[in-house]
Amino acid sequence: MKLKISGKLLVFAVMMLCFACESGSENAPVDEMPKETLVDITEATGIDFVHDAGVDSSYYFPEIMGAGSVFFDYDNDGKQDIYFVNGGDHTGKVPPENRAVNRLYRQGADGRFTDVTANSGLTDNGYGMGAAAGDIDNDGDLDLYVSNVNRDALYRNNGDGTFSDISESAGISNEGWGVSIAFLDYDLDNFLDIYVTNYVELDTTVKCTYRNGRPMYCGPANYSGAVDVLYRNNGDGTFSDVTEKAGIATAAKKGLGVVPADYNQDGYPDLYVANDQQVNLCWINQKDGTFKESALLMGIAVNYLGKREAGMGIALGDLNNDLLLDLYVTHVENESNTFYLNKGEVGFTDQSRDAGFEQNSLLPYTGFGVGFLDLDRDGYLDILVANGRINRGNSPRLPGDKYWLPYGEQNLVLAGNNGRRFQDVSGQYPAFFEPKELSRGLALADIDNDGDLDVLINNIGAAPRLYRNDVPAKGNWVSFTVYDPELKRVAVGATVKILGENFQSLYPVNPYYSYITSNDFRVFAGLGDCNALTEIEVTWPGGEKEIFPGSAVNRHIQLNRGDGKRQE
Amino acid sequence: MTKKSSKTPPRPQPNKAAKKSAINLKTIMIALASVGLLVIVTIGVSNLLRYQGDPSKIPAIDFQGMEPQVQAKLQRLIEDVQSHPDDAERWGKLGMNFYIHEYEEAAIVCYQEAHKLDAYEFRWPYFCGYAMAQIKNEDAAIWFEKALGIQERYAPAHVRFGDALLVLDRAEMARRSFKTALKLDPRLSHAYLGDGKAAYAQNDFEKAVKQLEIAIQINPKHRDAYGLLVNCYRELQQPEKVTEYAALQEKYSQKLVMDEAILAELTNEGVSAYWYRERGKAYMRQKMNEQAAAEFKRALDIAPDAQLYHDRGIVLSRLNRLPEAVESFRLAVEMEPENVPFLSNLGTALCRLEQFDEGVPYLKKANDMDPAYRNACINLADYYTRVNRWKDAVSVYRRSVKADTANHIFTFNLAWLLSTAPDASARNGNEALRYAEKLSERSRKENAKVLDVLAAAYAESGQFRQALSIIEQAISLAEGQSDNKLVETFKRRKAQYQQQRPWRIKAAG
Repeated sequence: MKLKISGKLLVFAVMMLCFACESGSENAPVDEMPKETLVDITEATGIDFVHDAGVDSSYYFPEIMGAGSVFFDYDNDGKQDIYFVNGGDHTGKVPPENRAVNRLYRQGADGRFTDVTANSGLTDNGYGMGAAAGDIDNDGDLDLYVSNVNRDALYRNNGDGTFSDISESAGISNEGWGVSIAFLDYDLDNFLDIYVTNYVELDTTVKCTYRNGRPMYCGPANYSGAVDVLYRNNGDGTFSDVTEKAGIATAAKKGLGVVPADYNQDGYPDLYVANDQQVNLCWINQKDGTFKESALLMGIAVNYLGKREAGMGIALGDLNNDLLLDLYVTHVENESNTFYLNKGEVGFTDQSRDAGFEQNSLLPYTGFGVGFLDLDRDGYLDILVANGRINRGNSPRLPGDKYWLPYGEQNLVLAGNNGRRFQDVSGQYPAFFEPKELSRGLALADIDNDGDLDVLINNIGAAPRLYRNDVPAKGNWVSFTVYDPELKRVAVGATVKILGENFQSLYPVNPYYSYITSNDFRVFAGLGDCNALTEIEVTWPGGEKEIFPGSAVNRHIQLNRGDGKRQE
Repeated sequence: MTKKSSKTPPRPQPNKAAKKSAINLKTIMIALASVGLLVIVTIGVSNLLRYQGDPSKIPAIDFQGMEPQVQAKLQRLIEDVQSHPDDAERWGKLGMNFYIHEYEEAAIVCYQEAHKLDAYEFRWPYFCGYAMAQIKNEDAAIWFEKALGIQERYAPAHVRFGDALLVLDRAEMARRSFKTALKLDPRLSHAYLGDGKAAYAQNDFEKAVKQLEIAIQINPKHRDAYGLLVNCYRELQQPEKVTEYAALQEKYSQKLVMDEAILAELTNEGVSAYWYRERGKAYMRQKMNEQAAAEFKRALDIAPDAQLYHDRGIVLSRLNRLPEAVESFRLAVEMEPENVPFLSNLGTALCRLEQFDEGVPYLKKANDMDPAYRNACINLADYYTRVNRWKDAVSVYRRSVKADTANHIFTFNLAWLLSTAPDASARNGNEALRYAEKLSERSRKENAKVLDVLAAAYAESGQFRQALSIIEQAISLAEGQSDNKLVETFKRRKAQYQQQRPWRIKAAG
């Protein structure tokens, strides 16, 4: 007892000291305040989109899961534009003309965004989840796939600033609850195919409560899993549903995130799928149009304790600069986000504990969107995570509180350190960290073409947040467009190996990561104190390697297929 | 009292021994008085210092939206604590009810208060650790350790302590805890699982494999053990084992929970529809049908639910309370008119009440919607056989076999009817033989009943020599299993086949 009192006194004294410190900092001159380096420029750039989850009292499960966005330069003017996916009414009571629709924002030369939805042909009004851009017809402009809770849609870019809904003529008929989308050329016929994760077989009659009877959103455990969909691009503007033929139909899981990559390094694109409360899947391309599921064999199905987790978003990148691509999967609160370190031929190992992701301060968050970027260009990838709860818990709701307030969580910035222990530096980015919102999508793109990646966060039932990256550079940088002139498009699925003075790393050419979003097609690398690149090696889809000469740094480089030296 | 003279005579001096004795007595008296005083002071001080319980520590919670009976119970328990803040049991009970109704943080506060008031009660630190572990609070280990200080011979507490230590990356200490658990209960599979996890965390993959293999030997449903074995064998580069355990990991979708009577105390406190439903399901699994029916009713009184009406119907059917079962199934079907199991069970219950006119259409609808749904198929075909509609029974099975070719029961029943139906137009010896041979192949001729069907099919197709040979094999198998009843049945068949007569089911009277 006595000790306790002393302890309390001690705590009190320490608190008083802390208060004293804080009041001291309040008196600090304004110019000594830390400068905001992830700057919220949403309003300043004219983005007035507000997501409508269509909330009613029914606790409709999809309300809590969407919606995402796409960074893409749809008009090829060299500036990243944004497509926002919306939810809206799901009861059928609102007439179609009054339903919330998805929105297209075009970036002008002054960096401001203008809503150009009206004349774009992109007025998709399904209950939207995600979207992704990809050039399906190799005509040099980006087309768009939109995943909805009911029927998905495919829009062809007409090349004049407008899009046409070609879902029906193209054979896109996914009626499942589509979530994340990836374009990949799985059969190496030079045409991008489409993979869509389907979440669960939604049954709106299922109702769920907390253990005290308060209504809540049902979790995935209340529904059956659904088979994902693979569409093969026939090269003539049509697609064939090859889900069954390719072997994908053998697993009806609860798919959320998807990232294509050549996981077994045989030249053919494979797919990694994060499943909610189930084992994750890794579809290994058998080079004959079929896939074989191998996630457990590769060590990326469950965590190090053999437990299946609630997989949401996925990021892919070389976190320890060993020229192997590692994976990071976000999870629900009280499960750590999982870092699968790629160990080459022996597969992956869950390194979450060693990397510090199981530390208590990181456990109370439910992560969805996720991306790797070298924020400070120190040569090591950092991690951004968009968080938001899936249930409101028992926090009291005060009169006037917004519906989504109890679901809000802070987003995270984790500083990389060559694959060793990551550091939670979220507090250094108050504009990014402090808003407690219900975030889902996280997309990355260099919106101002200054060589670093900026960040877009999608919030449920609220405005998104666009952050300009003004983080002071600790080192040099380089960025690439990895382009195939014959296909008139970025070589999605390629990788870029960078070798420089005291530096090496591997980057995927892959805009399809995170959760329900798609991202910049370019590759961005922080180089630390590396002052020059000695060699750049591109591995093209199919496995062909091409060496490009070294280069000076702090510049954007276009790597055209055929311009380098082919390797045997 | 006499007045003393002013000059007081000197007091008589005691002799030495008497003096010594008096001193001793005095010393003892003083010592006793001192001890007494000390005891009084100690009791007083300890009473002053003794923790009295602080009702202001009762966590404030938001009652909005919760079921009224939950709110009422929590409010009553809160008032109880407010009026008896120094009663550990009341704090503990409040903690249990907070926990069970999803207020883990509030529960932890109450358990800690209870522990302060009664440091010798095992439940409070144990439940506190348990609640903390559920929300990944790192202090869980401290509270399990406190609980073990009170009751060190409770094996599951050592497992939970070990698991909490693993969260803190203290694998070596965790292993000691799992080993202690195993000393106390050598069949505690969760202790082997825990030790396997700890060994894995220490990169001792061979040891981990050994412990995990024992865990699944004791209980083959340890899903997490399979997942961890996959990881171990990957590290040990044994791909065949990886594949083997990967398949098993897929097979078991539910996490295996450590069975503890003490935790039932917790769940029994729940008064929400959720808990009535969960308890009902648990009773249903254990075939405690009366209890299950009562719990389901309580849940349904709070919130109607089609699945629950259905489950209640099942337990009422088991109890032979068929009219009530029918009512319950009927409510389920009203809520979900296209649900095949609901339709099938309503039809079956009505048929058991011999209300065939109403029951059969439900069975038929269920069978039409899903011919592979076993109960609807079997019960519908059974009804047709009872009313001598043998062709209809055969056609029900034909459709179901087509819908689910792997279903042995469908194939078995179809082959039997095709061989033995009293109505000649329903029989087909060749078709029966085809199905019976398929079944026989699948069972490698080691199943007496399958051989019986095969013999019947041979007999129906006029091949009595084969029928006799097969039924003799069936008799040997049945004799080997000491199944006298079956032996007698088969012998009757044999006699029939010896007379070149196929076996026939008796037509319904």
